[in-house]
Amino acid sequence: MKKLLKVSLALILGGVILAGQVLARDFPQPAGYVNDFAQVLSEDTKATLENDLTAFEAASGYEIAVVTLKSLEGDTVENVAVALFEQWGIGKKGQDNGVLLLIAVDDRQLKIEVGYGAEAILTDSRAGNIIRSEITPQFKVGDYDAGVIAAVTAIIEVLSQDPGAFDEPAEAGASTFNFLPLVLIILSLYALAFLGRTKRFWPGGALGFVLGLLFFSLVGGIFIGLLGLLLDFILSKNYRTRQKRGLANSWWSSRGGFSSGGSSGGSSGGFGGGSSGGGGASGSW
Amino acid sequence: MKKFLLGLGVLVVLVGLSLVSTYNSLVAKTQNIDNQWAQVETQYQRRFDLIPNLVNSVKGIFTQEQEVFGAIAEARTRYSGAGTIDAKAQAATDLESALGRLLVIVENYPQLQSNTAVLSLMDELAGTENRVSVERKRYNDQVRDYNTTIKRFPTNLIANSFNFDARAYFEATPEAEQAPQVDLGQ
Repeated sequence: MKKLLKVSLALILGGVILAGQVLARDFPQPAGYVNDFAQVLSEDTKATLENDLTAFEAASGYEIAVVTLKSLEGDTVENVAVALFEQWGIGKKGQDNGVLLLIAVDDRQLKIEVGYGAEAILTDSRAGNIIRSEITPQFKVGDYDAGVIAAVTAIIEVLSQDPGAFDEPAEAGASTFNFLPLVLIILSLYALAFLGRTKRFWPGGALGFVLGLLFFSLVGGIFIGLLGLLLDFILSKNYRTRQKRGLANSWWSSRGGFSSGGSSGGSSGGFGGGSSGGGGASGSW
Repeated sequence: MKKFLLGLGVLVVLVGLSLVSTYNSLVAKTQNIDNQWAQVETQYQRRFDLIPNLVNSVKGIFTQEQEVFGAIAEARTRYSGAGTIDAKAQAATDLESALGRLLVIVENYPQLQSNTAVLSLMDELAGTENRVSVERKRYNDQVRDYNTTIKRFPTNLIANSFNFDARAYFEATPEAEQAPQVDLGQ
């Protein structure tokens, strides 16, 4: 029973990792705060912005993403901004202090999408003002670099007025620290160790199924069950081969090719898992 | 015989577990829907709080557009007096179409385009409209997910025995989807 429990924990971890990957949609993963997919910004501008935004995040906790797209592919700029914000999870989880500046170059439309936690300070009218006074005049003459830099400067200036921004992050990080995932990961590592030593590989499958049923659904049960079967099979087999060859068979060297990818859910590619609900302003040039 | 009983026992446990997990997931889904509905209502409230400002700032300019303001005020009264979700949704939709007409009217007055107070209010209102549509879409997505779940076999058996009823979608009425026609020549 003890063994079964340990096996199941490994399977939960596997399920968590997989669940994180199912979300992937059309948008590429972010590479930093500035993602110039339309390739309209100069290298200098990108480096400057990346520096400024990294420094601002470190100082205030606010995550500001700048994204240029070539085309909206028929959708509205508001819908695309919400979808992109949702997928990347811009801002810190729970604080939702993210801002997305989305520019669709061919459609000549842009949107400042504001996370729930930043709406009170970067209001719709302030966002609209930034678009009208900083961005569109520059974009109209084709100077994307100047427009984006002016916009980011203005957004940072507005957000800096938030009195709570500069002492909150450290405090909030400590109080909302969730130890459950950590415990799960540690227990799973132990489970993997024992799992690998058993010759049988069906307990992994059986327990994966039961736990999948409990936590997800019938389909989840079958899916995680199969996953557990595979994992246990590989680990058990790997353990035996290593034993035969006289190789080290402690758990960290007998992972059977699996690398532990224990990222906590919600975040992706550097952003903290914040959410937004359509706040902000849009414009065109 | 012993093996048969053991097998039966395992089967009963499995069925029991799947029942519990299905029931729990249905409960979670209904909770999510209620939570999302609250989000939609929050955005409606925000819209109602903004409207008096917008109306007062432009009312004097549009002397010939009083009909729109009447429609807005009327929908607003009906929303606050609405008892059911359906009535609320209807009033909110009517308000939306009246506001849409007002937005088009404002866009057609060039002298307003340089008035920063009006521009700010337009930003706030447009942002609120977008928030409403985002939260409403999320509400509908969750209702769709839930309704699909309770209609599928074998979940429908559990849903029926525990009275998990289908929820209503919140779709904009056809007239609210159409761009309003404004004739300023009158």
